[in-house]
Amino acid sequence: MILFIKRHPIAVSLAVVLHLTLGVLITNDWFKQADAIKVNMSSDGPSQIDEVVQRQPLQTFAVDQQVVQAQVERIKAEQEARRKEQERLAAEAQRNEQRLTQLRRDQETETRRAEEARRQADIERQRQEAERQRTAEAQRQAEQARKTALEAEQRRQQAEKQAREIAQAAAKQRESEEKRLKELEALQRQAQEQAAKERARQQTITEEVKQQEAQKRQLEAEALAARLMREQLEQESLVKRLAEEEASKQREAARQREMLSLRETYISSISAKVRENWRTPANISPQAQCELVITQTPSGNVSSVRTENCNEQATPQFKQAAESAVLRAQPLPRPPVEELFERNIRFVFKP
Amino acid sequence: MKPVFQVKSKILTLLFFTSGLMLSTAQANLVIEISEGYENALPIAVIPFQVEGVVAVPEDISGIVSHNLRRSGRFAPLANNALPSRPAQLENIVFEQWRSQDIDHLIMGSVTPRPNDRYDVEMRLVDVLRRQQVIGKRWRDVPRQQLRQVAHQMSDEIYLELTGVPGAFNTRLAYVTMKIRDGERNYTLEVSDSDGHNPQPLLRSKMPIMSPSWSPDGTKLAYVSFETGRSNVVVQNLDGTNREVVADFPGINSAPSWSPDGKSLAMTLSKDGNADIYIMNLQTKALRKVTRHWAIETEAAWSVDGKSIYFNSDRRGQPQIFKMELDSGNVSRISFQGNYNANPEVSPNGRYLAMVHSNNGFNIGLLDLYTNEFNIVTDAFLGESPSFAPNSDMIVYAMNRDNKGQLAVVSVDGRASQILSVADGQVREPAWGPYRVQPNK
Repeated sequence: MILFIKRHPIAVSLAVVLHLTLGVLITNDWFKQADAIKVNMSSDGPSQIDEVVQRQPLQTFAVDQQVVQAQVERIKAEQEARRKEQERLAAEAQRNEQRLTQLRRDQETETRRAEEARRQADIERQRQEAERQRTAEAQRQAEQARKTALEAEQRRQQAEKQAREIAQAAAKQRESEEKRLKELEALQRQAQEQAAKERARQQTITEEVKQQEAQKRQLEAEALAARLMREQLEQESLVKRLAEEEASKQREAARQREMLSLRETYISSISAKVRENWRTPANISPQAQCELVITQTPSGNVSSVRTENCNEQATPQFKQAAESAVLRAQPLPRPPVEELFERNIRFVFKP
Repeated sequence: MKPVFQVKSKILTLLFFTSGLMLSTAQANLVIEISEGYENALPIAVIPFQVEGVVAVPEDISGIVSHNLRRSGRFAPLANNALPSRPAQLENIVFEQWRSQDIDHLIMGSVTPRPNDRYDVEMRLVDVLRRQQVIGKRWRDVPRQQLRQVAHQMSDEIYLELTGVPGAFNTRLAYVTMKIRDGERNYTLEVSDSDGHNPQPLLRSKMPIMSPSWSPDGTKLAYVSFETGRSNVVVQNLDGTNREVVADFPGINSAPSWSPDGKSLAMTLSKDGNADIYIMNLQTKALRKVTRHWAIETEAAWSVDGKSIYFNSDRRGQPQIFKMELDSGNVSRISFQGNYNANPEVSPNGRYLAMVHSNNGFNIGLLDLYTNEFNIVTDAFLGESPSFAPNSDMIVYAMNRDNKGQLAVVSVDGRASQILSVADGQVREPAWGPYRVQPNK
């Protein structure tokens, strides 16, 4: 509801005003009727019985339902009362009708005559009044014309004066305006020059910035390129280095293998020579086995020899004979490569 | 061939050599012929011992040692004429000289005569490779008769040092020779040094002598003699004294075998009708019948611990070796190789069982009791009567070559062998004696 009111304030206001108006009118009517009835009741003479107006049901508006309903009911009740009263009055009025009709006819004739006289008087008065009014009007119009002429003169003078002043002021203003314009123009020019200059400067700066940026970009690009190049080079060199390392490793491994193989050859050549020199009068188990630990001089002479890690089958005679075989094998074979010479040699020996 | 028949056949064989040959009473050494040696025999130099003084020394001690080492098959002594020098003292040894001759060991020594035909003997074994003396020993006041024995002792010492096994040079052999003289067979039970030298006759007989068995202490022999025309088991001291017939039962009295403790003698008797093995207490002469079987049981050999005997039985149809635990009487078969296994002999170390083995001809078979491995260690000759050297390293056995009974020695690995023969007769029934009691050192 409030939202509705807020949304249509005018419509709502109109509705409220309309209701109030209707309310006032109704109330007035009631009071008038009551007055009329009172008048009729109190009248001794042939009373004028007013027709009771059959009231049309009130036009309803979008007002509060309860209020409306109450009103309606109240109105209905009153109408009922009034209807009964009217019926009683009507009967009474019926009786008085014929008497009244006579009276009225007489009255009407009188009234018409009086009315005619009053109308004649009125017309006369109206003609006199109109005459007086015409005279007054003429006087007033003359006065008005004089006054208007004066005012017009005054206004003309004033206007002239004003025009002069305005012209002077305008000239002055024009001058000043021109001057100011010139100044403005100068300023404008100056500003334009300044702006041009500024623009030029801006342009220059922009160009410089652009140039710098371009330069920067170029430098950056160059740097990037250089970096990329460097990285690539580094990458390449890394790959190369890795490859070289790998190759070197492989060479080293190959060399190690070769050396190992040469060392094996070397050791087995010693072992073989020891085996060639193996002999013993003792009964030796074919399973007998010892490690021979030999210390030799570079010339292959045996400084010392001993057996280690012998198995169960290795008898003292076997150990001694194995050591003897080493001693007999002197000088021990030279290594294939000088650097392979080992002062201490160890190998497994079995007969 | 059944054992009893074998015994009989031996008799027949021996009887075969009756006519036309002179009986020699002179001592005749067994001649040793080395037939096989080790391929990688160890070169060794035995330098003739220096003799101190002017008296001639009756025995060539270094020669005996050299010969011993050579016949073992394990050493190759340098011939005397190949010796680069003959140093008498350690400090005189030029080691390079010997190294260049591929000599690893030198044996050097000296003999110094003492009064009363006695001698001091000194011996050194020098390791040329290590340039050090390995053995240095001295025997003082050795009588002439024991010089050979000293040489054998030296050989044993050297052999032990270089092979790890005690030598069996200082031991004796018992054997029976048969020579025919004036149409008669002359049997002699002899005991000689292990090299066949110094033979000493123990019994001479016109009748066969068989199966000598050494007492464990080496002072007595038991043997079978047919002197009376039938077989007796006789026990006799080595010096010829205390000869005693311990078994003269009806039937067969044969195959004596001395128990390890020397108190008993196992033997084969057929006094109850069938050949079975009995054990006689030599003190009381009480007999204990060990086998009770309808088959022939004979040729008992004691286990080293004396708790069981190995014997030959044909209870399975052909002779095989069985073992009986003396306490329980349990018998188990031992030999499974070939169709004939007889004459068992246990090695002194208890490891091997030697036997006469036949598949085609008779050879010496060797059963390794540790591994149950069986090997034939002789080849192609008619072998019989195996007997172990006390070091268990060699076996002496009888064989027949060139239709003549000879002895052969073979190493248990079969790689070295030698033949011992007499020039003018046959030699059979060898028995290798135990270690001799050591003379003074």
